[in-house]
Amino acid sequence: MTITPAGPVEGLRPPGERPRDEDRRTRKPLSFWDRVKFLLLLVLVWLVLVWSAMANNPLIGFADAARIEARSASWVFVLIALEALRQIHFLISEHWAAYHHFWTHTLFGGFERVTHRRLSDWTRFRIWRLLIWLFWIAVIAVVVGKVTHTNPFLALLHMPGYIWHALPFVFQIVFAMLFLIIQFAALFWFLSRGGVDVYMPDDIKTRFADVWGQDHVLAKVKENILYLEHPEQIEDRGGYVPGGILLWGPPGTGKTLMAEAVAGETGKPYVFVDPGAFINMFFGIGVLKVLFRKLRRLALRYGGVIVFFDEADSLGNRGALAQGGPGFPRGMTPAPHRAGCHGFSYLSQDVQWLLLRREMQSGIEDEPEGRRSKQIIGGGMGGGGGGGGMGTLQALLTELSGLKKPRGFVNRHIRRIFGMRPKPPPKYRILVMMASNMPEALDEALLRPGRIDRIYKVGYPSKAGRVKTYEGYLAKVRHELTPEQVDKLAIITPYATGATIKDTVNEALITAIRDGRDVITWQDVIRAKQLKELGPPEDVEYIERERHAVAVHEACHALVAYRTRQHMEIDIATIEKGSDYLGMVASIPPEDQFTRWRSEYETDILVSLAGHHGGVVHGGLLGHGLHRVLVLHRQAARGRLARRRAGRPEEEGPGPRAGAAPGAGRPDRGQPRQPAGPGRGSAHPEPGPGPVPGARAGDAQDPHRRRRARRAGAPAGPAHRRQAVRGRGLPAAAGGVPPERSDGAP
Amino acid sequence: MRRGLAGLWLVLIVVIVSACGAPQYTYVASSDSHAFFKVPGGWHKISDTALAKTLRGGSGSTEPVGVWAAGYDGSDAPSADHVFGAVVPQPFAFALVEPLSASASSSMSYNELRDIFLPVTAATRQNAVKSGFPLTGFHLLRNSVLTQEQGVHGVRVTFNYTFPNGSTDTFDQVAFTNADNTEVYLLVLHCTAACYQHHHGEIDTVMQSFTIRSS
Repeated sequence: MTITPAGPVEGLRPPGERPRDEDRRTRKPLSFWDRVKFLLLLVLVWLVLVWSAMANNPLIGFADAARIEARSASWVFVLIALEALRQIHFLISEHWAAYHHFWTHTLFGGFERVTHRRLSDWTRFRIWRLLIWLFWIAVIAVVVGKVTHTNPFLALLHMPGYIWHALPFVFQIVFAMLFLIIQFAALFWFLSRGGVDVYMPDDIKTRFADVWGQDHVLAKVKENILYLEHPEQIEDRGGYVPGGILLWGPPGTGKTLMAEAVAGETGKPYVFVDPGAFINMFFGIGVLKVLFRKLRRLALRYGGVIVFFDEADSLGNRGALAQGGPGFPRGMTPAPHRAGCHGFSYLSQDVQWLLLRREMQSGIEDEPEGRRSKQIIGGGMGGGGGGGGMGTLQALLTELSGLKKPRGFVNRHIRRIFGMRPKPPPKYRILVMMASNMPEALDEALLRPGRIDRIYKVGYPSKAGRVKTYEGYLAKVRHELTPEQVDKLAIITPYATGATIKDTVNEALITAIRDGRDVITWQDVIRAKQLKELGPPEDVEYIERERHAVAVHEACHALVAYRTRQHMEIDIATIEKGSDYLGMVASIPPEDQFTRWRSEYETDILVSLAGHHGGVVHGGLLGHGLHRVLVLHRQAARGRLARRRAGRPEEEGPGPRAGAAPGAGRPDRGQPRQPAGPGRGSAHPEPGPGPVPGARAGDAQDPHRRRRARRAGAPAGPAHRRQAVRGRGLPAAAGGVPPERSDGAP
Repeated sequence: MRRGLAGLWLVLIVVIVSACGAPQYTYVASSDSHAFFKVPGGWHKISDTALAKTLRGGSGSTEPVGVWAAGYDGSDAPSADHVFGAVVPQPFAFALVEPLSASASSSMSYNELRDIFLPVTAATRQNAVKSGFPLTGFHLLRNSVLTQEQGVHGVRVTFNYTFPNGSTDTFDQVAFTNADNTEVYLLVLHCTAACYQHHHGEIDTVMQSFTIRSS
């Protein structure tokens, strides 16, 4: 028995059988309907004209009407002839490869090549638009000519008159429509917030040189600019120009400034999209469509455009299902994991997911009400479509993907009606930049390569960055700060951003002016810093006994801190009463550090107990030193727990800072510049230092002690430590140690 | 597919064939006043300005007469003068639509319609003779009452008059008025009596085609 091969199932085509269009040597055969549809349409048009003539004159029979219309509407027969000619042309193309090749590759292909070579995208776009306008004007002229029984040219000349005469009627209609619509439109308009601002190339004065302290991010962004300006460098080699950048990080770190600088450097238009544009009640989608139409035009006109979506997290996301299961958006790690070695990337996704859920549960319990509400706004749209509501996120995704799709009514529909493929759009050079403080709230589909190709963290500037930023802002005012003082200023403001630095310098200037000076001094800056961080001092007078008790209390804190906190320096020691404290001793790390050691917790306990001791022994002032000891013990325990979770014995080295420090609310700082934990072992092979009093012999191996020894040789010496100021609001985040305060009752 | 193609070609051929050739008649219409008639295709249209000039008695004014006026001449040398001219060897058709004043509207009658172009009724003819009307030899050939849709009514009279030069012309006249007597519609066709006899069928078709679609 022979088995005959089964033919393809009717209606289905075996995979790979359909030839590619570019492999065809002849034109793809038209279906019967496509071949005759225009002929039938034109015949139908002619019959309608005949019928119209018969209807308009009761005397005319079909034969005479046909003959009359054959003369008066001869254009129909011209079109019928042209259409017949076109179909004959197609028929030949379907059977004769050389003929088809001549038309498609030699004639039209050659025309395409020449126009692409000689005319820019923008010029071709304008010419094409002009032709489309002429086409529609011609159509209108013919129609009006027929209606008014004149020739199209005269109809065109009379058109302004017709429009003028029609204006009252148009106004009536418009008024009738507006009367109904304007109430709603006005309501929505006034309810709408924000919008889109377009800055032309000359409007932007910001340059890369104006962005200070973010050199590493800037270097990567510059790389994108290079490809935006010279796309052929990558496209000729088979690549594509990265079209989207997400800048994420804490507020005030210069994300917006960076985007402005990109626009300023490239000389391209800069379109700033306010987050309010997404939140508009009913205009979100409309704004996006208009926005992208404008972007395409600007991109063609100026050879590129930069669009900046500020606070992109306001777009929200579509819930967990859209996120593709466990795992986190590319380039980002959720806050609870940031301080982990390698972002815990060595753990399985299931474990990461488990840890995340647990951390989130505990995080929600600790979280202030305001932040929780904010997250609900961002993430609670699950399935409902984006924080902007009304499908704004989906519309943005579609627009971002749709930049490569053919556009235009004539291009997409008219050409297809005539059997021609729509032309692909030119390559729009649109650089999408987004900024967000909550990258987790962004939809993963928005961040996929192709939409957002690069994700850069714009974190707190390093010390060098802060120095540069201070120098930049100080250069704009008169001051007498020495380079050493500026350097010191950068040290004592470890988490300063561009915005806070600008604010501090400005406050210093105000302080100087208030004192009748034009020149900022070191004292002005310090006063400004204290004012910003601690608030204005309450000018209250202690009674003598109280002042003595507070002074002894803080002195004990300061003394033990000075003696035992080898890794930190005293930033401020004061008994000047503030809004919620009587006195304060705050310490800061003299250099950027990314790990925490067991000895740090122990010294924290010692410093806290010192205040208690001082109160008991010398003054009888009982602060909450004991309470602090308990708190610090709990924090130390959390740190050990975190290390155990990571499968790392606490004796082996520094643990993850965020998990152990009370400052977990500021985890960004804990993001290691180089991997912590095992990877860091080569840099710090020693086990964690023991308790300070008993570990004096091991000073040489303790990195903090080494650092302190190094600093001891510095000219500033102890004075430097005394001048180092630590802010009230930063202790937990910066140094991991809250300032020791005296706010208890005597 | 082949059957469909054949059908398409058939439709195209029918269309093209039916559109070939000249129309048998020229269809004259006043879209504003809804008056229609047809004349043989070989007749020539008299220009509106020439016609207006003739109707105004050579005063030089080319303002249109009435609401609408049209003239078609069967002669190879068409001329507006043939409207009132003697010895018209070929049929000449003249159509006119005119509004009626309130007094004319109230006094409108079939006799008024008969006398609208030339004196036809006896009384009018006697008055005309007294006032020096030059045509003589009146001879009535047809006198009938016509009605059309929407209350349009009128008369058709055919009569001969002899011009002072001795030539006898036959006038075929159809006059209508609408239901409320506010407009009058006139179609007059005349040529020499011999011509009329010769083109009787053709002329009758033209006169019968005069149709009013009162709005």
